[in-house]
Amino acid sequence: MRDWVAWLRELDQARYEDPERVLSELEAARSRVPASHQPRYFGVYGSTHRMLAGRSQQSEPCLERAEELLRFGRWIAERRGDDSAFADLLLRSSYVLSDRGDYRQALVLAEQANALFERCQDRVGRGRALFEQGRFLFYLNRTAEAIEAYYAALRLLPTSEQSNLFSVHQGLGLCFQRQGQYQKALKHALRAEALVPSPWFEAKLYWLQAHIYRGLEKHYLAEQRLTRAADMLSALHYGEAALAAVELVQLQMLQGKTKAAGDTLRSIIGLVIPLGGNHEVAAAIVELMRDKLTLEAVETARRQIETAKECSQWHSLAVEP
Amino acid sequence: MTQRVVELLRLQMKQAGRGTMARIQRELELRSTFFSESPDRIEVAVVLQVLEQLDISPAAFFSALAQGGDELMPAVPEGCEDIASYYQEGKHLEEADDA
Repeated sequence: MRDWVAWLRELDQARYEDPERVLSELEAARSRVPASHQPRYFGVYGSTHRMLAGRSQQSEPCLERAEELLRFGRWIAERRGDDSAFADLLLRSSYVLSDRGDYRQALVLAEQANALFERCQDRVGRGRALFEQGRFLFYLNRTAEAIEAYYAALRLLPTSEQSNLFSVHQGLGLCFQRQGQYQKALKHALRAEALVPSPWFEAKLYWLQAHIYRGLEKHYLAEQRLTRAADMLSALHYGEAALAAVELVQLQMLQGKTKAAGDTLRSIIGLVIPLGGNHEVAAAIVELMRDKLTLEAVETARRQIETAKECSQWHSLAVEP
Repeated sequence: MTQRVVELLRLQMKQAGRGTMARIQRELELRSTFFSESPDRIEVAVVLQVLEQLDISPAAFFSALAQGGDELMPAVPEGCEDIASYYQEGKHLEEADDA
């Protein structure tokens, strides 16, 4: 007899790496899933569609499908009186809302999930819900409240929750950096280093550390971290790699390292062709190379790339495995 | 009371009828701490206490809220018609009786 809990847990992990395979396994098993496991089944099913949205040129249909499946899962959980699964589904639904940029409603769902997890005496669930509240509050510019939520999550998450603990420390690093409390930000950004879940997050963490060191006016350390971030990102995401590299040029120019800045700029040339799919980013780099290298021109290019990041095509610049 | 509370109550009324709605409203009005200092953040723990006192399932309450109150039965995803009818016909209740 199949262990459905273990099967769903395994697929929930595997969806990050191979959502297509997970989706076909889920669909093949649909008619056989026992009723008591259906709410969590629809949770994983919906989240897998959300994962596909991140890889698709047209993310909206995938997000709509994810929402439909998660709503249906909640409907089943409600009928079964399964508060724990309902809370899990609320949290998953909050991620879909945050993917769409609706952080306000995402926060409401995360708060509801937290309350239900508390009722079920699920400390890990509460820790996850509080961490997500912190994330949404950060995006809503409610930094002090975000810090509060992150600290509450830290008190609840066990050491086995390595990936979530990484995100909490990274989140605290971002919050304190925004508040200009660079020493506190650095403390959390360094703690996160021992918990890094993947190369992508490692690169993002180096980038955050670079910003913090820049705030502390330790430009040499900032440059070192940013160089590592840009190197790692060049194997992961062309757009992010271009943005990190342009920031590196800026940092080198601020230190008066004009030659190094020119060398870094030339190293970005290799990104222009793969960036062809996103004209704004490619154009920003080409423009920067054509004109005289000044801090103003670098800042203009950086802003153009930042703006392109808001666009839905940004995820299509991920490097194919 | 803010718009959010009114919305919650309206949704609950749809599900539970006016008698229950009036009881919830009375309970909530007695508790000035329903909202925290930030107007957006709902003190859900307080709502849970109220629901518990009134013996209303929190999942049902949040479900109505999450669905905007307009669709108590959500759209059935393609290929899931069997599962939907299982619950619509109340077979899950028989399953609980069997257990």
